[in-house]
Amino acid sequence: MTPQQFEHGLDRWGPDPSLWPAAYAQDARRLLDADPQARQALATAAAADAFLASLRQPTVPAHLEQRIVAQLSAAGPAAAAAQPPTAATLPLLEWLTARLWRPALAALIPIVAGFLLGLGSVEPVDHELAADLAMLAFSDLYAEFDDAQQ
Amino acid sequence: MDEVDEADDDDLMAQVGRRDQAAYGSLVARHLSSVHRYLTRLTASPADADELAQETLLRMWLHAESYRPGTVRLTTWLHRIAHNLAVDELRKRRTEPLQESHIPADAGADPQAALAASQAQSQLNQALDSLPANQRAALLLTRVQEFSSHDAATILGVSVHSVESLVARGRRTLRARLQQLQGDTPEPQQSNPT
Repeated sequence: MTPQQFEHGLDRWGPDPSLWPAAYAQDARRLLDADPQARQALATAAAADAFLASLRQPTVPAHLEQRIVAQLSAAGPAAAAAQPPTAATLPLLEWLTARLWRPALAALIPIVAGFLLGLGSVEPVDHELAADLAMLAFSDLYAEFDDAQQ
Repeated sequence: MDEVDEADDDDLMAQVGRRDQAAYGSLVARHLSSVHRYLTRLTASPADADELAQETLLRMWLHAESYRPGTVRLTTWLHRIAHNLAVDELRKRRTEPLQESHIPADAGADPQAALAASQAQSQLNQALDSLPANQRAALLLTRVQEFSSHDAATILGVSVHSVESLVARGRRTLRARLQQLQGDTPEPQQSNPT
């Protein structure tokens, strides 16, 4: 293993060669025994890793949690209590948008409902009434025609 | 421990979707520390981290309906929101002078040891802060926040391969910066690395 390969291993697998793939770990130990620069690189990588691990300590100030919870009230009733419209309608929206045919089907529902409603309300034609209405209509036309002739 | 505390994140998020402030408080208590730590280290500014953590958790309340249980863990979802907010903040800073890191070193009882620890900590913080933001984020997510490469990829919006590459480059850059900062340090005495 060359020093460059060793450093590549440090970057890829970290500063503990026992966690490296077995074939590389053995070569790394041999290089560490022989090469002071490899030991230096390992020490620097270990310091960096220990530093990163030390950053796991909490950083949050004591007051922040209360402030965040309180901000709902501070933002006003709209932010605190308003129901987002999607919360209630989300399952229906998800169903509608999951497949292309579903919105088309949904759009057909009022059309079909209107057609059925119209069919149900059709009454038998009263022919006498229709004839009377037609006569009334034509009589107006004839009247206009006569006026024009005169 | 009450019933709310025992409920898992997904149950609590369902309650938050129904505007349950107690459930929201429980989730804030659970996740604030982790989100704040990530933001503090990513932005190198505790003040910005306070503000961004607050905004992240407010968005959890306002956009609870867009959380999809089962597809992503809540902590991953929150870190993604936090990361995007932090990236926006870092973009704004490009036109402003870079801040010094204001994260205090942990002081010990011995003043000399505390000073040495503080100097070392300062050097390390400086090295971390000088990393490109995407390398710093990948390192923080995997090495500090202890996310898997897969979850880190979800948070950063990149592939797992990209995360692994960013982590390797971040480690290399951090090591190089540390060597620069430390100068020529003496060779360590121990020959056994483990």
